[in-house]
Amino acid sequence: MSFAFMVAAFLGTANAGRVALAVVATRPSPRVFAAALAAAAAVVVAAMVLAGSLLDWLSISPPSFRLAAGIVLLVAGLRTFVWPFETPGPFAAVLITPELVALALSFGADESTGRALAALVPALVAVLPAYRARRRDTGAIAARFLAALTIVAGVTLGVWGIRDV
Amino acid sequence: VVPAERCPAVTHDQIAHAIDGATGWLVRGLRPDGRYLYGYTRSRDEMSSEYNETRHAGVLYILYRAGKTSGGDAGLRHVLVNLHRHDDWTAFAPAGTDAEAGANGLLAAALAYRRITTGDGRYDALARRIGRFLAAQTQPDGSVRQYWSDATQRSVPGQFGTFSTGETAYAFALLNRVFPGEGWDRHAHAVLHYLATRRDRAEGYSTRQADHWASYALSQLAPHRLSDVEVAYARRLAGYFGYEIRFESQHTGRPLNIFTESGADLGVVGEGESAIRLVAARDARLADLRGPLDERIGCIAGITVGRQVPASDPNPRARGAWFFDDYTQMDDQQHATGALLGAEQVVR
Repeated sequence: MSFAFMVAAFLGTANAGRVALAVVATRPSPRVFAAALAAAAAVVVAAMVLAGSLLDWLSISPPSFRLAAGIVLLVAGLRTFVWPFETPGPFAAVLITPELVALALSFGADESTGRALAALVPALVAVLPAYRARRRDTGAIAARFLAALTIVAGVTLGVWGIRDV
Repeated sequence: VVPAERCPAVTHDQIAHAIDGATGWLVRGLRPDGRYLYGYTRSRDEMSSEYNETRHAGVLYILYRAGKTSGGDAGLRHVLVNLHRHDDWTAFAPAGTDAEAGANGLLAAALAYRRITTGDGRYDALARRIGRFLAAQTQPDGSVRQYWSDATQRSVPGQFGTFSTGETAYAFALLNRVFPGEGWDRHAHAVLHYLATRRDRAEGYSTRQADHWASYALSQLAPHRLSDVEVAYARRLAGYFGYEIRFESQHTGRPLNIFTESGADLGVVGEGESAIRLVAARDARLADLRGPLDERIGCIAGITVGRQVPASDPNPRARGAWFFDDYTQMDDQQHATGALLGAEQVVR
């Protein structure tokens, strides 16, 4: 799996555009925004670190989970593409999403933790400017483009999950 | 979405016993005319009246490969009285039927394995003549016509079998192993190249077909250097069969977890994967697959052994067999045995 693909998949699933829409809608304080980002990073890192042991415990091979993660990304990407706007809930929920956790588990199981962490960094950095977002329309456009990226990443992961031994 | 993959532990001895059980079922089914029991429904204690010559050849092949020479020789009698000679070739085809490439590919594979396991060359001439029939069916692009018509005395254009092309490639590869330097490898590579690059589109398949016979052919040619196209094909087949094994290991046949497979289905994926393991053992370009392949092969072997009717079963038509919907057929035992023979080399 190429590093570029991992970066792209994280960029799509973290979806800074959707985060921007949530910022416009809920106006979180800097503390709430930072806490959400930190919590998301912590959950994703934990998922990466524990992925191998967790999948072993569940008796699920990395390729099978890759296929499952691909399906989760596909469905989540389609949902965001059609309706990118936030759903009610704590602000952190816009970042700590099933698709991001599934992706982190899959990359954590398939790749070294260091490589997976390095691929995550650009996505977290890309989320930071979302705090300054003020316009709903540009946020929605960005969210849809990143959702499309998530769909592509999901399909790719699924195909790799099927084609792998 | 992702049920647990359940892979029962299995030992080398258990695999060997399962092979004995399955080949025992095949040999017990031998009839006076040299044919074997084709199928059996346990709940009605009813034997099938059907027969299929390709599957007969498949049983011969697996018995010889498993070293059950006398059981194979008994079935070879049925072949020897149903040979059709034409020009420089011979084909196995009962009177009035068309000669089929798949049946003859498996027969050539059977005779090659008989030669390998016994060192006895008494059927070498027949094996070569059958090889020449297969070569006559093979087209310049590597495709293999399925039938030679008894009525027209010609090869039938435009008809291709789902498995006969791969069976033919395997036959060529085995003939090359027992008769090196005679050019059989050239035919084998041509057919494999066709399978790897053109078959799916040319024969109208909407998806890429997996072919365990092609896996076997690759395994026989691997010691002599495969092309990059063949290695890529081997990798693709490894992935396909690996996915099938993972899928099978996730499905237990319980009401909410259905999709269990027959002995033949289990066997085919095990055969394909273990044959590619041989390729990976011999070709450094596939070295990264060795570990994952061992894991999958051990898994499918455990599942296969676990689903076999145990040796303690009092019913001799059930003992050693694999049933699906209470029915078993000779190819269930044939393919499962092939998979277990492959797994025997991996599970220590």
